[in-house]
Amino acid sequence: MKAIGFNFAKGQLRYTVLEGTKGSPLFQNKGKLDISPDTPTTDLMNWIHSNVDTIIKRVKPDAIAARMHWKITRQDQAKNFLFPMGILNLYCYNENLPINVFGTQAMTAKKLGLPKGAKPLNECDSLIGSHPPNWDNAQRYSALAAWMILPE
Amino acid sequence: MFNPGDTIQKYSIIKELGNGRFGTVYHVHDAALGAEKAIKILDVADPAQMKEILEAQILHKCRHENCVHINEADLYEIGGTIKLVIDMEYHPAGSLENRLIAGSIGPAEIIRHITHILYGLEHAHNQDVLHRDIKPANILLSNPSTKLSDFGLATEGVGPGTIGSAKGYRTHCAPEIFNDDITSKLTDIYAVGVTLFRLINQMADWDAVMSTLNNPQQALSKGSLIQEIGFNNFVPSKFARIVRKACKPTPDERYQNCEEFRQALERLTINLNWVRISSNHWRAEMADACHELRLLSVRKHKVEYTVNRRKRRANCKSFDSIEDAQIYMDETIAKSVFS
Repeated sequence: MKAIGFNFAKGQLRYTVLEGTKGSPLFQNKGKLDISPDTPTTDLMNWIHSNVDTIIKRVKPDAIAARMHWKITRQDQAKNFLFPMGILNLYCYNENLPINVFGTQAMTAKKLGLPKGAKPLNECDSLIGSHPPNWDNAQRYSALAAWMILPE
Repeated sequence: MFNPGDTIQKYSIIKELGNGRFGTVYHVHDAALGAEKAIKILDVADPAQMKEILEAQILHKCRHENCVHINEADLYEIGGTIKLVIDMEYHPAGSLENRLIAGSIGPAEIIRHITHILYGLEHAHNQDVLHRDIKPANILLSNPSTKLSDFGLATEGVGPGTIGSAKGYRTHCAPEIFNDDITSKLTDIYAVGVTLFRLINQMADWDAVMSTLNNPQQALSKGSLIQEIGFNNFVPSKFARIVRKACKPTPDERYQNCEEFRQALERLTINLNWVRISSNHWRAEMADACHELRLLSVRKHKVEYTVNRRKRRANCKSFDSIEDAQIYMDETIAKSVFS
């Protein structure tokens, strides 16, 4: 099964593609796409939609996951973190693709099949590997989202 | 050849939109749907082989927001000969070439058109299709999307690294097309680079630009076309750098895919969206202010910079020669387009 995980940030879209199982996730691909942070909201939504469409048509995943940001306190955070989730969900609805959304707190060791007490972000590199450039926490979160939907 | 008022089955001709080696495109009224369409009529050389249908099949395969949509393709016997009619969506705003001729295009609009085209081209490439004829005349404007059209020279079945035969609008052809007789995804990227070059330099009369070259064919086959024509002084260095990379003579040094190319454009942040009103007047209308640059020649040659019609003295300067004033104005624009 091929799983893709998305993580949206200000002026950024991260994705990681994994195959395998929860116990042994296999890294396939990743990407970091940027757009000027000053892009107007309507253009930003079109950018999100165009890139999600291009990536999904190229990767052809079986399932899709995304990291959800729950702590939204400012308008620009809603535009950069929350609105893209709406675009992604609508895209999946139109394409009849399954999607799961996880907050950071939901990506627990237990749900990822890790030993009790393990921190998923810390364990990410040991199981999935390190894949520079741009292999930072924002990228790891997209990998964790994909990892969450791999089969047991 | 059809004239306004002629009918072909359900289509009545409104006007001719363009013609080339591979057929003529008409703006028509579709009586069945009560809609306006664009149809391309092609002669079918050999009805048994029907090679002409490939264009319609490729268009269908490349269905994307940034590629012109095909509605249907059908065969009609007209005047005793078999014709293929490709029925497509109609875009009244016309082509990017017409837009360039009509007036100056600002950097934000240029970025939008080219990134849209790169999305459409990326989709075509992902379907293993090469377009092979990218130029402003084959880019259609449609609010809100810009669309790649005319897949008459397109070829399919090209995997990564594979190549098609040499085709395309000569002045937008990469050097390897002339030297090695090949087209590839990277020759499409080169053609988008030349298109971007024409837009950022506001080169509406491309034939006139080409006629200034001593040996255009040599420039094309050496891949030195961009270098020999050069950039206008008002072109921001960030734009010029992107064009140079897209049009590198060596394919390996170009953007290796559409995503890399469009990402270079998408990362740019517009500071002032300068649009040329006339050769002596530029305007950047931003959300909070209207910036204007004027070259005024009374006793001296003066460049006047205003924001909401109030002079910004730090940027106003006088010069003894009009050439120096022009250079100052152009450089002010080039430096302030991007953050």
